Amino acid sequence: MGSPRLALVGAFVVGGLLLFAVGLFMIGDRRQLFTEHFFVVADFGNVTGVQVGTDVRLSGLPAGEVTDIVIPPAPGGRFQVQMRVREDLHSLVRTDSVAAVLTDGLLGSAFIQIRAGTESAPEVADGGTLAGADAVQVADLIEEGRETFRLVADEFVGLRQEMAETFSGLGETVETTTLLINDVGNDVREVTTVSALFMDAARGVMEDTRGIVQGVANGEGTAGKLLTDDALYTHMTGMASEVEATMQAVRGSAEQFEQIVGGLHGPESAAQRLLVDAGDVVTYARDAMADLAENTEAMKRNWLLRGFFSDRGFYNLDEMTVEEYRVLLRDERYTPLRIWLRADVLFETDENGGVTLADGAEERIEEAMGELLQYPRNSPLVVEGYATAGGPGQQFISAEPSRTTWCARSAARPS
Amino acid sequence: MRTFRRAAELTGTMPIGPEAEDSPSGDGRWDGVALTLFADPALIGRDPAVAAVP
Repeated sequence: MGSPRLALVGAFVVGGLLLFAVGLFMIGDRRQLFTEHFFVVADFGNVTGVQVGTDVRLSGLPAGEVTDIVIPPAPGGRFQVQMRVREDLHSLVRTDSVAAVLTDGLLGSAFIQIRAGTESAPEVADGGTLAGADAVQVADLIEEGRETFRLVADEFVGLRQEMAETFSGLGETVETTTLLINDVGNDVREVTTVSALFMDAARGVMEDTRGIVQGVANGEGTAGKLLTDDALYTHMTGMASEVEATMQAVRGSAEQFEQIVGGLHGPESAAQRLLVDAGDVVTYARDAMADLAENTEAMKRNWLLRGFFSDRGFYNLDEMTVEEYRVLLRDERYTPLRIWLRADVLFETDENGGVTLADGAEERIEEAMGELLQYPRNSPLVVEGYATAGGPGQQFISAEPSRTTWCARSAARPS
Repeated sequence: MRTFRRAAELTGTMPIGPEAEDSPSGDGRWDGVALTLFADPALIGRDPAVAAVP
């Protein structure tokens, strides 16, 4: 009796153990506990939704799970997430691969996605480090969307205000335009009224003109007679013929006059020859005048003709002797007016024996000249020098420097 | 000449010597200068006006 019962118990236990082993195997296989794998580490600044056991995918293929999360020692540090990855996928994980925290949909669970590297990069070593990309949080997206919405709302409010102001200005412009149109309409009405009056006046003038033309056509008035009277027409035709003949005669005379004038303008015409002759005469006259001036100058220097020229105020004292000058003084044709000035008043002798004008001499000379200003300035004036000291030669020489000194000083004075 | 606006061609000098018939000294001699203006007789007459300035 005991053997079947023991066998049943033994079978139950063995079955239980088999079920436990199968379940354990299935769980281990599900978590890939029985496959070869390698470890990699990635740094993240934000590990929201990531915990030990979080799935790791390589290009969407399940590749392992998170095995550990190392907390940074200080704020601002990055979390180090250790992952276990299937060894058969090791050839796809290169040193330039990037691990990122993603979520299944908007509200799904988080997982770490490893992007396969490039062929040029070497395979990452077991325990190597990959670059980590922080997850994009829905909350952050919502916050950014909210900020964007607020900005859009503000812009919309501002745009609405601007549109309101624009429409307000447009309304004022419409009102102004309406007023302007009304004013223009009034002006147009006034112009129309004036135009109507003008048209009435023009119509009256046209009627009057039509009446005048009708009267002329009927032979009324002077104009009508001119148009309708045959006798008057014949008379006027005769007058026109006479006028035409007269004009032909005048035209012939004008042509003859033009021929005469053309003859005067010709290069060989008498008038041209006359002009050439006149030019020659002027040239000869100019030469003759030059010769006459030279001859006159020579005649003035001739002693025999000096009397002639002296009557006209010409003298040449350089060619006169003292006796000739004394004769001139006694000539009855002249009236010499003489003012005597003493030498001791006018001159003084310096230590070198030179003769100079004495102090007050200039005032004395000006006083003497003042006496002569009452006579015409074209009257000849002679400065006579006298000297009594020494012999005749010395007296003459003494008379000369006195005159020279006086003339030099007088010429040096400003006019 | 510039001071009294005298023309150069109407002004001259003559060194005479000691004899001066009409000099104011009375002895027919003179030591100095005489300014002689030959004026038109119609203006001043034939008798020469003598002005003696010492």
